[in-house]
Amino acid sequence: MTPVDSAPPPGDPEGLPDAPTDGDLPDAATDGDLPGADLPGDLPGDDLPGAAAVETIDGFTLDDLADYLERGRSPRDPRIEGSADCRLALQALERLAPLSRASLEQEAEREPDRDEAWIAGLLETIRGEVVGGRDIPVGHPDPRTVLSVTEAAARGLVRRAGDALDGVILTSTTFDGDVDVPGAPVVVRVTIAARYGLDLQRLADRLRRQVVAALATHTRLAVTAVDVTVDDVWLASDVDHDLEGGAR
Amino acid sequence: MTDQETRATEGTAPEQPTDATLSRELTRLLRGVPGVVDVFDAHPVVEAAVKVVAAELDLREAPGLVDVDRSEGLLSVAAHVATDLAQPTPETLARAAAALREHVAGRAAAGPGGGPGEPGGASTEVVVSVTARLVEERRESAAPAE
Repeated sequence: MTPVDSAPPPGDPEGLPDAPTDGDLPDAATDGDLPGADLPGDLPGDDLPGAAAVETIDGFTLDDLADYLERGRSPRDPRIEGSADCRLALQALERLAPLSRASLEQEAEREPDRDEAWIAGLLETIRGEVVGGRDIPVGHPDPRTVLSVTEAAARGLVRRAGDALDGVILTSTTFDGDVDVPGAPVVVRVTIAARYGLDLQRLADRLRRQVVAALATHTRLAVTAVDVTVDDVWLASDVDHDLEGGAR
Repeated sequence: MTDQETRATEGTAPEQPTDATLSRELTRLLRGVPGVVDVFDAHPVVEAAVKVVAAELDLREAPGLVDVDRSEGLLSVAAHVATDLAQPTPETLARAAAALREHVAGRAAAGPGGGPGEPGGASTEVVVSVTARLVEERRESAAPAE
């Protein structure tokens, strides 16, 4: 995995709870014609029964968006570039692509059925996370001025923070609490897969700091805790070391 | 002002823009606000679809992406934007809202009907809402979303 942003996180939020060590997997599609870890070209899930309008993002499937990404976003498609939801999905897919080449291919060879299902679940989660959601208010002294950040944009920030950490694939993000009520306490719950051999407690602490910093910079969410669940591990491959210059 | 806009404003004072024109002006304005990376269509879904069709029929100028709505003495201006990851989003949103409000106020000062005032010159309250729908790195090569 290639780190996106390796800047040290500001501050160390004391008092945040320790990371749970298990948790529920995201809802994963487990059937259909799953091509394994060949991301982002052919994505699992789009051949599943019922994969119609409900599985599109502003009219585009994740397969469409992955193809567009592979073409270097050229020629420019104004319908995709003009959609915030599609752009969020492109962000997630863009960061996921190196992972497939590095770590997931080896896992797919080792346990193809399990891995395909896991990837399908991850993509399904991404598809769900990029769509709007609630509006998170950003206070303004003038009551005639209403500022907000969408929940999808905030989830995108969390995903970015997770994917920026070496050895982490962020699986899912949820905000527990009334995010649309100013000042209401919010618990951020993130689920990740981590590379085998990493210090999970330390990794969770780093992720927690990154998430808190990102949300503090770009939202006014009153984050009271960031719960990190590591629900899967994968083995580092030789490709990992080639890409990253050695695992940290 | 394009021919289309000229036709739309015929019979009224020269400086009075239609809401469509105002929307285009505000869209262009937002693109220049520091921290705003892109502007998305803020119109309600059905209205946006109609505008896309209309735009395909008339290719002279892209439709504005800022939603301008007048009802019962209230002028609502709504914008959806992508913000720059390198700058705090709340500050970017506040700058964007201030720019929108200033522009609309300037239109009001330019003449009756030009901005928040009703055609008869009555004052109208202006509500500005700006929503960040995406936070991302600024891509220098990125073309506008409209």
